[in-house]
Amino acid sequence: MSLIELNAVTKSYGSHQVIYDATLSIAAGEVIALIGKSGSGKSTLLRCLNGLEQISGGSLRIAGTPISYEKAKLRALRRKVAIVFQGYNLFPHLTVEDNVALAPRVTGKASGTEALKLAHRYLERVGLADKFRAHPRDLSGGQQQRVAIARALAVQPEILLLDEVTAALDPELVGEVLTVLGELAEQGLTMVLVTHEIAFARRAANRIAFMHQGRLHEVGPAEATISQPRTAELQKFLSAVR
Amino acid sequence: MREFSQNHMILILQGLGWTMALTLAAMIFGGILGLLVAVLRSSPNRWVSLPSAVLIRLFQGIPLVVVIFMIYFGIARTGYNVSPFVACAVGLSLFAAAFLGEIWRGALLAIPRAQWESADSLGMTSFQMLRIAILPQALRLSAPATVGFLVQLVKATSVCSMVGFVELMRAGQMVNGTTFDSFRVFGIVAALYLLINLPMSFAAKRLEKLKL
Repeated sequence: MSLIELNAVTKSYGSHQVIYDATLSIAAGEVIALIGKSGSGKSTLLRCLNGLEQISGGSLRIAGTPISYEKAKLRALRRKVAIVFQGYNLFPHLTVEDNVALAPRVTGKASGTEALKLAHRYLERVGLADKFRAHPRDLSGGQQQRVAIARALAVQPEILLLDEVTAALDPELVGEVLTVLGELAEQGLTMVLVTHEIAFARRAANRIAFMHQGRLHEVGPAEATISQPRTAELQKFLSAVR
Repeated sequence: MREFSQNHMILILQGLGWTMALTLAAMIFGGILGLLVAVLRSSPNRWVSLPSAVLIRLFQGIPLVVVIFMIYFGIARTGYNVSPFVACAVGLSLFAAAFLGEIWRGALLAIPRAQWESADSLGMTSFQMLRIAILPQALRLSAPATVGFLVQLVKATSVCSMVGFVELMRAGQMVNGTTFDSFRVFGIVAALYLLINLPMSFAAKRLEKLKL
């Protein structure tokens, strides 16, 4: 059974349509990279998956449950689907460990000390065991983004969404974040990532979905799709980013 | 006419105590109401935001002295007796709520949308988002403006002298009435207001430099 099922999903802002007829099934344990030009709708599609954006048409099922925008249902959804943003969006007034411990605390999954223990575990996993008590402002961009990943992992989600998580980083910091993502992929976490790192997508993802003008233009196995793109648009996109 | 004496000084210092008590009451009740006003004012729902918008416009637009007169003399007409302290504390609290509410609303608006989204994505309820993620940042952001307003509030308590409440200003007037030593008496009164306000002004200045 697939974990995520998109069926003819559309998304419009008023009369402006940004996603057309998106149909895609994602299996548990699969890693899917969404690639494409800016404005092709990939971030919007990603944000539909945890209900940050409301779909305008079609159907979307997460773990078998049709999406609902009722508040309590959305909160339940967000315990299954966590997201990491391009701009980290850590809470600047909280320490690193408190940022990570938030999700288990507020969702009632763990008590105060348990949540903190959990936070330490995830921070160790992203290689930040020495930064528990630091504030986000004291960290580099790459470290902040790894905290954001730990914070999302602490939700203990079934699916992790990543929205251009390396796009705001200095080139020399991209590697440390990609290493963490690569490890997560190997451990079998289901991930959907919007990325411009084609080489990483090819290596770490199972499948690649190329979006063009609001449509899932070409979807296929990562290696084959990058080495032998079938459509002219993907060929053009790949030669432009190389 | 009497010579300025120790007893006069004691009266003035008692007045100072009441000025501080009024300020404290207005800070606490105005602060609570102001926080509510700020949060409700930020609601996208018109029927929720409208009442707080009205409260802000009313109490920012009407002179404080008029508000206090309305409460003190207005309620007395209905046969219910309000003490000058209560009337002044209520008037000052509404005044503080209107201004603090507007200051904090501005700070809430200044918190990036991404912070709300981030909190939302962690599965927080609306109340948790405010309490844990947004308000602490907004209050820190608005600390300089908040402390700046508290200086205004301390000075505004002098209006209470007009309904006969013996706070610092009124105590000064009384002492002046028997000694006619105006320059010395109001000099002391002025110095005592500064004693409260200067440290707050300096604190506000320092808070501006504080990083979030």
